[in-house]
Amino acid sequence: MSLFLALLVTASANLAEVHSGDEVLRAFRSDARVRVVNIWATWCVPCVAEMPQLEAVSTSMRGDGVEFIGVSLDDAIPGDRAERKHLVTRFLAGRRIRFRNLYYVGRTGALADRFRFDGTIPITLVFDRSGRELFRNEGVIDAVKFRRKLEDLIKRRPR
Amino acid sequence: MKRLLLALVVLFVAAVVIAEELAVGAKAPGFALTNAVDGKTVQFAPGDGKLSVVVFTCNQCPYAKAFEDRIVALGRAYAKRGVTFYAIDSNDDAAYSIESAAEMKSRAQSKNYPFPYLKDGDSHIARAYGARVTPHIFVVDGKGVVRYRGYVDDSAKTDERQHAGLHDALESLLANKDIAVTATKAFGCTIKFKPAA
Repeated sequence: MSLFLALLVTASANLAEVHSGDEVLRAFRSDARVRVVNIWATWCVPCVAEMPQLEAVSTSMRGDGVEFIGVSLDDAIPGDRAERKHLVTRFLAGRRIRFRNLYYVGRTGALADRFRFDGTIPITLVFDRSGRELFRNEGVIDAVKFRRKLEDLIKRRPR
Repeated sequence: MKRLLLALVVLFVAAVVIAEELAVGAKAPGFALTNAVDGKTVQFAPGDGKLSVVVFTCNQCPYAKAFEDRIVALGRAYAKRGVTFYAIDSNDDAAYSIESAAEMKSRAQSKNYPFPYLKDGDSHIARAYGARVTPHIFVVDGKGVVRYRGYVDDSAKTDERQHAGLHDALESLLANKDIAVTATKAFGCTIKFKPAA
């Protein structure tokens, strides 16, 4: 149990903070040809419901040139940042979410403006290497359709 | 058959239009909803000559809760200047028991709401306004026209706030001045709409 807590503390420290949407886009591996950004928060009920589906799609496409990054907006709520980050880490560990997550500490409106969404989460955006948006899904994804879409997008982007 | 198809298309388009967030300059829809606090019906008749604020909020959303004290303070302060606030909970209480009338009453009483807390049980008022999230604000002038829509403030953290959207809109309207920013992006938890029957 203590090992589990120690791992959680370490994971909390590793939940990198980002201040802008551009920073999110720069966080992807250079070899990721299709880049998926999911914006969510632990306090967002549909986001929480969606997370296992995202994990399933991410896992099933590992090694295909697709990378997922989650962006937590938990910091939008007033409170102690360290505690909130810990909550996010616990959530991710508890749900066994393995794709990378970042912790957004900038202004919520700025992120909504950068990614041109109306402020409603969850939203999932797909970009190419150059940062050009290829696709977006507002609201909870349909895992089957979303995976099909990603497969289609990756096919059009050779290594 | 063609007429039926046309009617269906019109209905579909109407549904889409209704789901759109009400634009600044649009006529605000009226409503008659039950106040969860005392069980009485509260009616809002846009064009009643009063400056009004329609606040879509709820019990479960941490983001809405972060704004709750501010909305209560604004409601209390502006009531003295003739502004009427209506807080509306449009979340589906069949799916989320925390949104029941009893829970709403408890919340309103614990925070001493200076305005009614209305149950929009089938979410039809949220749909009519095109409200998406909690909190989501619509300021309606005495002629029944939407003059501001969007957020309360641009940050839930008061120390990071740069734009007090609702406050600024009300101050401008009370001073008969133009509102500098009439439409902002409301951010928060999605409204848990009751599925259409």
